[in-house]
Amino acid sequence: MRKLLVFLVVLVLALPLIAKIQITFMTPLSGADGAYMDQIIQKFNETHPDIEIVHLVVGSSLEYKQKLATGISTKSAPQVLFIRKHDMPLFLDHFRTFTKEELQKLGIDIDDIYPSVLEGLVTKDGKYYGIPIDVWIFYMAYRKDNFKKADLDPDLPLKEGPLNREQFVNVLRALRKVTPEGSFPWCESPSWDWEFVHLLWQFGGDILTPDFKHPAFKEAGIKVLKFLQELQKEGLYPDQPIDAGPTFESGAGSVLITGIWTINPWLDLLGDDFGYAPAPQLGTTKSVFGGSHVIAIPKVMVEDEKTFNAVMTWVKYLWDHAIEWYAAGQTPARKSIAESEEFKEKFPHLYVAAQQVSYVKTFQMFPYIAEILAEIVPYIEEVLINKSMTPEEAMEEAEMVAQEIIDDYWATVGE
Amino acid sequence: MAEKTDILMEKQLKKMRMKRILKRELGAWGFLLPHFFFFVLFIVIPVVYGFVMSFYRWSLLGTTRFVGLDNYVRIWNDSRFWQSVKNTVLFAIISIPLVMAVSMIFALLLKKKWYGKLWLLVAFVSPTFFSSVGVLTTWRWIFSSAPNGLLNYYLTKLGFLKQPISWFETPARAWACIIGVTVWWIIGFSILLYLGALQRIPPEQYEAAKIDGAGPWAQFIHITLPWMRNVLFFDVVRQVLLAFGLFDQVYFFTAGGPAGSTRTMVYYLYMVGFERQQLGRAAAISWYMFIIIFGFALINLFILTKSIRGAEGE
Repeated sequence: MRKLLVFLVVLVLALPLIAKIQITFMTPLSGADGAYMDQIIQKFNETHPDIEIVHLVVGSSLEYKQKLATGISTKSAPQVLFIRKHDMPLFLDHFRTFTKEELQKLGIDIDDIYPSVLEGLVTKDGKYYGIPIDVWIFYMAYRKDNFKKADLDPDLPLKEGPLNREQFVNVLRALRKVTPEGSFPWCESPSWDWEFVHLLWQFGGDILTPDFKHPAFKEAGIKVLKFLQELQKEGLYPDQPIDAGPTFESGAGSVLITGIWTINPWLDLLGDDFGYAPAPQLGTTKSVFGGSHVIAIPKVMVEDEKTFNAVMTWVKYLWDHAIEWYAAGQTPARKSIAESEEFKEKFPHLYVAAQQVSYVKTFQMFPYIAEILAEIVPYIEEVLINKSMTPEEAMEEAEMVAQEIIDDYWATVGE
Repeated sequence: MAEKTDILMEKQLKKMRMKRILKRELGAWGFLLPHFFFFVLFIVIPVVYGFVMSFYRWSLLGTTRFVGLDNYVRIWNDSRFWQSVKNTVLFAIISIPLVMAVSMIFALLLKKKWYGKLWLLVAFVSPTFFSSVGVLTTWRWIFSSAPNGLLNYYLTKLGFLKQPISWFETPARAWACIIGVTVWWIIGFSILLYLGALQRIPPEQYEAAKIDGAGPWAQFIHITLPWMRNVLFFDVVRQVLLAFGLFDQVYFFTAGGPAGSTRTMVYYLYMVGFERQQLGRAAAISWYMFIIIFGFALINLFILTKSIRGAEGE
C-alpha cells in the first residue's frame, strides 16, 4: 500500500515533465489553404510526441487582431502566430525579437529571405520581429483561348514576361475584338484598392512618406488614374464595378492582374485555357504588389523556457518543411527555394510568379494603412466610375482625408 | 401607571408594524435580488465604467492616460463618424417604414380566416427567435458570389442573370441585401404585435363604416390605424433602437464596405475599439449614440403622450 502511494506521488510530480506541451498556432487560413497547413501540423504532431500544435483559424483580419490584442493583454494569446504582415504594425512591440545569430543557432538563415519581404520587420538595432515564410504576390492571369481567338501567341506573356506597358496595351487592343459587348479585356473592378496600390507603386508612388507623417500618393495616383481612364476610353478596362472572378472564368474577360491565391483554383477549373505570367510592368518603377505570412511570437507567451523551446521546435519544422506549405498556392519568401529546381519542377506555375519576389513591395508598417486605403477608394470610384471628379481633384481630396487619419494617429497613439 | 402601559403597548405595536413592513420589504427585495445583482453587474457597472473610459486614452496594449474631453472632440471632428451616422439614419429611414408596411400587410392577411395561415405565421415569426450567427451565416451562403451560391445559381439558371454577381460589390446592392435580410428577420415580432392589436378592434366599427359607404382603404385609414396608434408608436421606438444598433448584418456581410458605405455607428464603434485599439474613444462613441437615441426616444414619448391625451379627450 505504501509502495502504491509512493508510486502515485512520484507519478503526480512527474506528470508535468512527461505531459505534452500544447502550443496554439493561430493563422488566418480560413480558405482551402488551411487544409495544407493542417496536414503539416498533423505530421509534426505525429513526429513530436512531446509537443502538440493546435491550429486556431481566425480568417478575418479584424477578428485576428481583436483576439490577439485581448490575448496579449490577458496573457492568454496563442504562442505562435502566422500573421499577415500588414496586420502586424499595432503589435510589433509585443513580439519576441531575434538576432540573426539566435536564428542561425536554430537553423534559420534569415539572409535567405528576400530583403524586400523583410522590409519593416527589422528593429533599429537589427533584430527581427518575425520570420516571413511566404509571399502572396500579384501575377498576370489570362485566357489562352481568347488569346488564340485574337490571333495572339498564347504563350506571349510568359515568353516576353513581364510585358511592358506598350506590349500590355497592344495585347488588350487585340483582345478587344474578341470581347463580348459590355465586357472588357482587362476585367478587373476599378474599385479594388489593392490593384490601385499595385499600380501606384509601379508608377513610382507610395501611400505614405517614409516617416509616415504625410500621404505620398497624389502624384503617382493621378498618373495611375489617367492611365486607367485612357484604357477606359478605348474600351479596354471597365467603367463600372464588375465581378472579376466570374467574368474571367466565363471567358467574357481575358486578363487579370491578381493575387497568387487564384492560381491553383483557376488551373483546376480552366486547365489548358488558363495562362499565367509575371505581372506586367506598366509604370516607371519595377515592382509588384505582395504580402506575406509571418511567423511571430508574442513575448508574453514564451516567458517560460520550456514553452519557448517547444515553440521554436515548431517554427524550425515549418521553416524546414516550407515547400509543403507552398503547395497551397503561395510563393516562397526564401531565395534558395524560390530559385530552386525542386520548386520549379514541383510547382512550375508558382515558380513563374516567384521570380517576381525580388522586387515585390508590401504595405508600409503603419497601423492605419487599411483605413487610409478604404478612404481613398471612394475617390477612385468618383474618377473611374462616377466620372464626377478629375484625377487631380480626387487625389487632392483623398490626401486631405488621409492626412486627417495620420494626424489623428500621431496626436494620440503615436506619441 | 396606565399611561406607562399605553406607551409600552404603543412601542410594541410600532415594533411589530416595523417588523411586518421589514419582512414584506425584505421579501420583495429578496425576490428582486438575483435580477438586481445581474443588472448591476452587466448593465450598471459597464455603463459607469464605459463613461469613465471615455475620458481616457485606453488601449488593451498600451498605457492608459486621462485625456479629458479629447475623445469627444475628436469624434465630433471625425468625418467618418458622421458618415456612419448618416448611413445609420438612412438605414433607419428606409427599413423602418418597410418593416412596418410589410408587417401590417401580413398581419391583415393573417387576421382573416383561411386554411393554412398558421404555417405562414410560423414561417414569418420564427426567424425572429433564431440566433444571428445561424441566420446570417445561412444568408451569407445564399448571397455567395461563387457560381454555386444559392441566389446566383438559381438566378442564372432561370435566366435573370447572365453570370454570377457579387451581391455586396456596390453600395446600393449591399444595402439592398442588408435591408432585405433585416426585413425578413424582424417582421415576425411586428406581425404578432399588429395581429394582437387588430384583433382588439371592435368589428362593429367596420360594420358601421361599411354602412356609411367607406371602402377598405378608408376603413384602414380611419379605423384600423387610429385603433393601432399606441402599438405603432411602440413599434417605431423598438424599430429605431434596432436600426441604430445595426451591427450583425454589416459584420457578417460587408465589414462596413464597400469603402465604408455600409459602415454603421455600432460597426464604427467596433472598428475604433478593436481595429484601432482605441477603447476610450469607442466608449465616447457609445455615449454619442446614447444621446442621439435618447433624444429620439424623448421626442417619441412626447408625441405618444400627446396622442394618448388627445385620444382620451375625444
